[in-house]
Amino acid sequence: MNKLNLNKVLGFKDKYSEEISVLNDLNSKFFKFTEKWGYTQISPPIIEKTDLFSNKISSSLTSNIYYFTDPSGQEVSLRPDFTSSIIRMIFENNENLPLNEIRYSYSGEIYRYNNISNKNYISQNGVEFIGNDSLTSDIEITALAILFSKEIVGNELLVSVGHVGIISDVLNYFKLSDRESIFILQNLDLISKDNNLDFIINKAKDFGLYFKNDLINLQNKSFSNNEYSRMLDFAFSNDSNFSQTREKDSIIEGLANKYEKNTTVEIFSDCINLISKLINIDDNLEESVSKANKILSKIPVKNNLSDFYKIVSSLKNYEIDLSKIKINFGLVREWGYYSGFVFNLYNKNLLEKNNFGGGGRYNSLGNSINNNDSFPATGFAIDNEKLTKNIKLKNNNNLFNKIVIFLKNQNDYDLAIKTSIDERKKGSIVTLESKFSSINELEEWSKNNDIFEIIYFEKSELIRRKI
Amino acid sequence: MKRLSFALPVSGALYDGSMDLLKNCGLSISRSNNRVYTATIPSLSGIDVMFQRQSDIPARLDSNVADLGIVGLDSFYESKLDNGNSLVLIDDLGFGKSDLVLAVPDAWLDVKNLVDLADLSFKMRDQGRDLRIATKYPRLVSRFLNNNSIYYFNIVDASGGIEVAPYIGYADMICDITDTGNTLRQNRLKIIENGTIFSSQAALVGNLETLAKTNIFSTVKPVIEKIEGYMNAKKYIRVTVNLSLTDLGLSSPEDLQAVLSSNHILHGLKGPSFSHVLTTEPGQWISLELIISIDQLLPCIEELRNLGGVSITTSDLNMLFYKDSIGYSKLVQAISLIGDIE
Repeated sequence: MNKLNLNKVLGFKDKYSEEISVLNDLNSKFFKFTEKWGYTQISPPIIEKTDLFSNKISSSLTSNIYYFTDPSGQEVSLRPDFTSSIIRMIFENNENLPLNEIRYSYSGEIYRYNNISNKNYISQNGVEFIGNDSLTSDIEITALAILFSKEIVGNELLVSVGHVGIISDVLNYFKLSDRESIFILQNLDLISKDNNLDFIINKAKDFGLYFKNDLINLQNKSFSNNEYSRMLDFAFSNDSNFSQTREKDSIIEGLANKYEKNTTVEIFSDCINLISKLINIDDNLEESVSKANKILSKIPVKNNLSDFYKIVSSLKNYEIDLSKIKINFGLVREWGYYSGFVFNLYNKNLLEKNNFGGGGRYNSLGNSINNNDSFPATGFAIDNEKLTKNIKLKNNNNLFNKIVIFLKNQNDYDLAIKTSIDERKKGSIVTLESKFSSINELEEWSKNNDIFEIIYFEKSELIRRKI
Repeated sequence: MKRLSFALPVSGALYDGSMDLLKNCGLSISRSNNRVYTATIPSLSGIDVMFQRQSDIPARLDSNVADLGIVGLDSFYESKLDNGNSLVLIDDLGFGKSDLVLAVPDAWLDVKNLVDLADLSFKMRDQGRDLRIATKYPRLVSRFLNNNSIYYFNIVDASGGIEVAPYIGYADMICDITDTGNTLRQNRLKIIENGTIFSSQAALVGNLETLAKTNIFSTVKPVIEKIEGYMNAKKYIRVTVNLSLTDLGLSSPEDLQAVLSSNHILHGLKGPSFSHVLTTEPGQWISLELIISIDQLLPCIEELRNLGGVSITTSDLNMLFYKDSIGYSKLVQAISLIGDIE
């Protein structure tokens, strides 16, 4: 019979007292801090129906979600994020929407399979501020995230800020398709570097994009919608259900769109050039916004740019040092999810890409989950393990004396129990030990295990030995 | 003493193909009847054969129940653990060939390729629903689509009769294996361009952890060698031909070297060998023997005819062994990476 392999699943971690203590301490600080801002703690279930997550209200990829069939036959998933569950809670427990403002805080693990990093969970603390579409909520969330992180990280905290709406407005101005936009958003790193435009265009073509210029020879293939309709009816005359799960009009629209391409290589190049200039701005707030204003002079993004300025400049009201804030117009965080102001939190020991947290506005969530488009939301989350790495948090156990009561003789058992009760009442941490062969052996062990004192008995007399 | 556990498919084309392959390799299976799920290989001691559903074989390997197996690559990559111990040793056993493809209804004239499918997924998303794909390969399909920037879709887990899913409406399109594409066509589905996720065939796979045990490590070598030798041999054919040196104006067989070395088709695997022909016909005759790639057979015959070759015959090879076994070397290298053999 083969021996069972009972090692833990790769990508997960066994945690011990010291780390748990640090994380508990962090959680405690987090909830105390956020409570003062009016955030109440909630805890959604770790398992939800798979449809909630596969509906892509977050940016988790389908291939990264842990899903399985539970014993009842229900398709369920380990949560890949908290936000989906929280939105679900609000829809499920409130008949009349939209509600007034809701402020929630949460703590726990989320699970996303990641074959590259081999870390399949994230221990998170976070907040959600739902139901407020004004700049005050963006400012509040950003300030809350920065001030809490500063409590933990100190002056090494760095923050980068951006606004997805500005780039989205640029993409909309150039009337790029969804796929063209996604290509640009996924390749901002490439665009920010001084890459040859031809190289980027070729990469776009490899991605499957084609431009109006590519269709010149196909213009004659373009037909009117009526002609497409007649062609479909003729080709599939013996099958009334030929379009199957789609409407016939959807196919006709798809055919028409194939030959009505507006984006030329020139338009696409202009867009990339403009975005390249924008995301390469590296200056203080006033200069950055001024430069962006010039670059975007022909594009109606003034509202988002001025919102961006108002949010960042208002942070100084919270006594936040703006010199620690890096303006990054290329910051989009998880594309397709965030819709407005966004920020990343990191420290001097981490690259910006390896940030320990961040957040921003994601107004499209309600629409994704329940076709409810009046569901403005903003929030942030922190990766607790990244945040506490290399940071010495106060370990509460150190506040108490650790005492070992040595049971050399079983006859002293009753006395040992009574002593342990007395010592615990005084606030000490007390353990009983009987495995050591001598008091000297226990003393050696105690020196390496933060023991404050050993108690033992000689002829029923209590003796204390400080370590 | 541990015996080598060899998992084989219990039914279908992969069962037939495995039985034929092992028989041709001199590793015939002895199974008392079709309802018994264990067997032996009489020509090799120390091997227990177990018959399993092919979709279960990757799990048997990853859980250390099986040491070696024959399985379709589609099932293997769908079911194997990413960081498990199983490794493909020979990936082209030549049977069970099929493609894992994405197929949409014929009438979707606007969806010809993967790019069109991405556009459609965005359009459906805007309309408040995701593209539904019926498949029994959720893992391979999700990864393939995500890697091709298609994010808005839902997998509908299905195991049989998948082709009818779009027609009856529980999915918009399907992803399934196909050999000829006939079943797809009959169900009014078409394969999209660039939509072949994977070309599959039967493969020999091994469990690194269990095979690293010394006593079965030595048992696995003849299995790999014989299968590989047989598979190598299938790619080549032996050709013999009689040539008149006199007619070619040559005085000795060695002079033929200059003629043959300029012709890569006649070079064969390592150059031809020769022997003298005892004949009553005038002149000096030799018999050449070449081992050539099977797809070069007819060009080779033509070249030999041009040289005046007569009595050209061919014969199959049983086994062909190279200096080293590729599959066995791969196994040794992989085991050395995870640690020493016990």
